[in-house]
Amino acid sequence: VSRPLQELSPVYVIGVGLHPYQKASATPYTALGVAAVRAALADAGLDWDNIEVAYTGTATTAMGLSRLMYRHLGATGIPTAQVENASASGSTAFRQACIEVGAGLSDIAIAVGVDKPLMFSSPQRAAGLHDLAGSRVAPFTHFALLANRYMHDHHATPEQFGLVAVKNSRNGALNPNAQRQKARTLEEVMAPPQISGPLTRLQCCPIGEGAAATIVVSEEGIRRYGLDASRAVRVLASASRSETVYRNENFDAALTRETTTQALADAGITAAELDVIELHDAFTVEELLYVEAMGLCPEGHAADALEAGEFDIGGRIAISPSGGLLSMGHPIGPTGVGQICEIVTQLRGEAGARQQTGARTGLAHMVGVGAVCLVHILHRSE
Amino acid sequence: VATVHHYPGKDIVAPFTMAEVQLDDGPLIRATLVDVVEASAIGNRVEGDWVQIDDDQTFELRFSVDVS
Repeated sequence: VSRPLQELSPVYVIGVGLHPYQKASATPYTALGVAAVRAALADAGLDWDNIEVAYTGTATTAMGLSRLMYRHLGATGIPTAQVENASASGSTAFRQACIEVGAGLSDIAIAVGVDKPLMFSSPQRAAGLHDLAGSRVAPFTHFALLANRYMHDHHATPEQFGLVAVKNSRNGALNPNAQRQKARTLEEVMAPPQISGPLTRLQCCPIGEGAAATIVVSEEGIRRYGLDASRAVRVLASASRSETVYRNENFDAALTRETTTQALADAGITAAELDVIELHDAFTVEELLYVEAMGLCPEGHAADALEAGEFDIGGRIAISPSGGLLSMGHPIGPTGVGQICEIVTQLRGEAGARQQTGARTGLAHMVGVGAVCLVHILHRSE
Repeated sequence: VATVHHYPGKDIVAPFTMAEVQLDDGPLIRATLVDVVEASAIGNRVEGDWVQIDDDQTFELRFSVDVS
């Protein structure tokens, strides 16, 4: 019998921490991860010894990397595991931590995301599969094809895609943890180099390195350690789906629609009740596709809504106030965990210059190679 | 249809054009488009042809706009 997270014991995020996302450097992954974990522990008011289980989202660094990283904090004998789910690795680690606490197996769990861009593998290559397109349809070309399809179907313009990057660069400029911290004009975004189709370099996310950590607790955990319940953010829903057969439908949008619908139903809310969203905007066209798939505006209307400022900080709903993957960056393993960090910070009212005023309910959305999608909904009461 | 400007592979030189092709029998595939002209736009009919891609007996199915 399938049960939603909300039917388990209440789960809260009590601590968040990040190591800034950045270009690949000589910094060891252990230093990135430990910095994020220590920041999350300090934010929660906990010690490493209090952590009962650790899930680490990672995809591009090394096999079994937790061991060296957690040694720096103390080998306490807790269960640890790496979680690989492509771009959604961190989101899946967070989901596992929520399930562990919701099911009553642990009272305090940590979900960490850490990666350096050291190794990228292709499942098709590993399986010995070949097709007509082969490696010629890299992710940016996959989304360039979707962008041209969107322009054809909805009479959108390349500049309207560019406005996604303008908005998210403006947000990223307010985020000290973002890899790209420079606000860009539309002229800058549309300038060469052209990568594929209408997508320019600044419409594609940077792949770098970094780390993020979130600490998840039960109500018993909050009581036991005297934690500040006023800063606890409830996890209302955790939905995780994989692809099915979509025939000729846009499968990225379809999978997002299905997963978001499930998460909203599990949380018992509608899309209109969301105040802030962090979504998988690895390429500009994705933001338009996904806000429509989530039901935030009718199909074909996202570009107009974006131009009208509805998705700005201070708009109807803030989309990717962190800067999103486009500006905060996409170090793979940390990305989904970092989204939770931003949502929690927003719902606590602690986001400073990029604060969405009055934010109470937020959604984090990640996809992994188009084959998996995870959506988490978080809420903080008055 | 999308023209690829950045490609690290060695099997084809950028820029080249990729397209989603709806086959008459139903399936949607992705393939390389050649002889790209203004009519190489979404909705126009294309036809497949076997193109020799090296000196060996290696052929690849590529598509071009059906001008007939």
